[in-house]
Amino acid sequence: MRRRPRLPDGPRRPTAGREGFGRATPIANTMMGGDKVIGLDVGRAAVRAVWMTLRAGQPAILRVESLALPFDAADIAEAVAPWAEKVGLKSAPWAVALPAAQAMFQPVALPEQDPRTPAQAAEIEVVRYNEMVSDTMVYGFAPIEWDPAERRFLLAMARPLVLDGILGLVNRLGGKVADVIPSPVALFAALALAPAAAAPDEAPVIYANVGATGTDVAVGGRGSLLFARSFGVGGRQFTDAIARREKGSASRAEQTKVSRATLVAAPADRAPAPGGLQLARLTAGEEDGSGAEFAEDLRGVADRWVGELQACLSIYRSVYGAAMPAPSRLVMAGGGARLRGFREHAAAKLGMAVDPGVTLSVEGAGERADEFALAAGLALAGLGRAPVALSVLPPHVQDELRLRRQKGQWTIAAGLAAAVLGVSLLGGYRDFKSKEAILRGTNDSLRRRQDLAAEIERSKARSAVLQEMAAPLRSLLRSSGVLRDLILVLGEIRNEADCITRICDAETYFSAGKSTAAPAAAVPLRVSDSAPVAVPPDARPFSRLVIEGYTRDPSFDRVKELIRRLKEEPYVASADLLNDDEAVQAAGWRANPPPGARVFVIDVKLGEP
Amino acid sequence: MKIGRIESRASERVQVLAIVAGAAVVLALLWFFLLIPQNLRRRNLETQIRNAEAQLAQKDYLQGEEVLGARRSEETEQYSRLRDEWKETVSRLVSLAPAEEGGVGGRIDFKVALFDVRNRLMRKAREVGVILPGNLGIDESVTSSEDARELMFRLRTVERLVDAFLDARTGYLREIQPLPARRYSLAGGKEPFLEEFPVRIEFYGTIENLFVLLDAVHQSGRTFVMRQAAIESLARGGSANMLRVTMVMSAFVPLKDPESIPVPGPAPARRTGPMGA
Repeated sequence: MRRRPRLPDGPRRPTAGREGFGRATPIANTMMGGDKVIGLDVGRAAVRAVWMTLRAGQPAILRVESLALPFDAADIAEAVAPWAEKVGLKSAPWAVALPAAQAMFQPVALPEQDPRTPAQAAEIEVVRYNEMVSDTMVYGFAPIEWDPAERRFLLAMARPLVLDGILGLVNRLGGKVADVIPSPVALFAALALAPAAAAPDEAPVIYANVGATGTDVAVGGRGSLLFARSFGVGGRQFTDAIARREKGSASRAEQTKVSRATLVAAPADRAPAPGGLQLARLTAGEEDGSGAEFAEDLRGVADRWVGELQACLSIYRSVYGAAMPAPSRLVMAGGGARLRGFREHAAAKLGMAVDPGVTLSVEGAGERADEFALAAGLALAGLGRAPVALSVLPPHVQDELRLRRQKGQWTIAAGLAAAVLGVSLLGGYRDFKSKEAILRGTNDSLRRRQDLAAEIERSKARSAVLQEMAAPLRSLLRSSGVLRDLILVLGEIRNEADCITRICDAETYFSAGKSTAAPAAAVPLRVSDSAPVAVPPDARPFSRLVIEGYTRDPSFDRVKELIRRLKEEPYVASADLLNDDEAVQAAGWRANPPPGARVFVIDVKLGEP
Repeated sequence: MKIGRIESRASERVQVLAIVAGAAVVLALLWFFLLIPQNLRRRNLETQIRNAEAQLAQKDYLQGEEVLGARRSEETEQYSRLRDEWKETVSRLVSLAPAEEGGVGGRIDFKVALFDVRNRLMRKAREVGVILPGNLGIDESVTSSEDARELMFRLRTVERLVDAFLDARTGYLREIQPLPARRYSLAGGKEPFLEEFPVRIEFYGTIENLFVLLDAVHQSGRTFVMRQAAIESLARGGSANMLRVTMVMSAFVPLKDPESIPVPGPAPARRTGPMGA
């Protein structure tokens, strides 16, 4: 009986990662920042890829592709690369599986009084294990929430070398890794949320993915993965059994297995099914007994498979004991599970109901078999929609992916910062330019004013030079006619009784008066050298005149009249009788007056012409 | 197998860092090569403006361009007026033209000129009946310390003065004595701008003779400035109106045109700034 469970669309489950019970963000969904993830299931017999995205928050399968690998393929990457190019596998990041056979799963229970956080407990467990294996295991853990009163988590560990191999394959194929998920986790993600395969609340369910070389086992319920395991019996063992029976090649046996082999014996040999077991309906091949010649051999392999599964369940019971109910049914998925009669045989042997896996609804391509369940579970986990988020992505890759996710934000932030700074720079530059223009205008104005000031200063200096040069000339010119004018005045007022005996500049008068020589010879030479001299403050030839004479008027009225008349002249500053002491100095060259006459000496000081 | 691809993708971290670092470097470069020079230019301009304002304010020139322009016009007009006055004064006062009278020639020229002047003035003196000293007060010999140019100017000064004397027909020119030249220079300056050639004369004559002489030496082109004077009446010595006059008369020669005298102007305004200004 095939059921058509829908893809899980339940609430987004938190991931534990390494932080705790988590409320960390699913890796793929955050690391890549994209809306499409490819779940890539690389098996020994086939490679299956599921393109998944979110439609209105619900996961949707866009496309599925598979590649059957050569039976004896030595280099998977070499075999897959052309197909990967062909189907456009590089169009989205990949969520790849860590095979359960290469991982270690350990349920851990924390006592109620244990103060450690799950992350601390997981780290301690890993450190302890690292000491045993002398390696540094990469690990992840997921909470077990079956019973809210208990603190349990499932720890998954893997050797770095194994992860390097997986990531190396991704790199060789040119893909971008979104996440590395242990295959039981992906299996549980694909099957547990499908209504047809979901576990009832009262008991967990066994989810088995029968691969080519082994089987991944996950036990879970109530949204928690309780137990994970794998064993090395898979579809390849059935093929080998057919090959032995046919005495043919493995590839031919594989074709026989796929086309007509069955575990169901011929109708004559068919024993009645145990009561109460829910058997799948026989196919056409089973009805006519074709392929029944392999049933005996296949049942032997199936019994071994069942035995391995029971061993796993035994471990499960030893781990949980009475704390956890026994699984109530088995969900079988994977290519190996499609062997006719296998599920029914398993159901009979295990004494529990066996359900087939899910069929996947692909957009625009109808339904696909449950052989894509693991790839779909990987894609779900990659989108962060898995019920259990348990990643074993190495920390440095997580950092890289985180950086890659944040690269855009960094770029935008850097761009914004650069834009802000650029705008600030531009604004500052423009502001500077504007201020500079104003300052240049002011500076130019000041320079023009400096030029004007310099011109004014030069004009002033030239004027000062001219004034300095013109002053003595003007003084000389104006004063040169003074003596003539004075003689004219004296001529106007002279009379017969009085006499002017000498008119002389004061310097000559007093210099000559000191000498006893003849007056003519006593006139000194003031200008006595030819060396350049600075213009004297007063360049006038003389500023003082002495008028000597005698009068017969004992009252000196005429002399007074003479002085008054001299004072009226504009160039005369003062006129009066010479001081007696000065008059005595010049007495030596004074002529004797006639009898009855009295000598007078008038001192005339000239003003500014 | 190492996960080479992932390792190589670690370069994305480097890429991000490189982008951030590159952006920082670009911004730093912009800052360094764009804003800092701009800021320096602005500061230099501000400094120049402050200095210029201080210079202008110091001499009360921190005024508008229109005001300063008006002041410049006033000063220019004042200078033009003074220059005109100077030219007029010089034209009235100066009786000897530098180029014509003493600007050329050597000792030979002086001696030839002296001979010509003596002959001419003696001939003129005889014609007007005036007695002159035989050598006009100028020795024919020229010593090594004497300058031919100055001797020539002395000669011309004497020639003009005696001419004026003869025109006044004064009776007896007892003595003529050219005195050493005197040069005028600006305060603090070394180059003289005016040269004075004084001549001392002593003569006997009437007051009328004196007036005629004074009028003669005040004519344009033959202006002499009276430096010293001693006029003595000889009334008791014989002639009632006879005077003995001793005077020092000076002729002037301009040596410099005011335009050619360098003016100590203000210190040139600083027009250059640091690089980038």
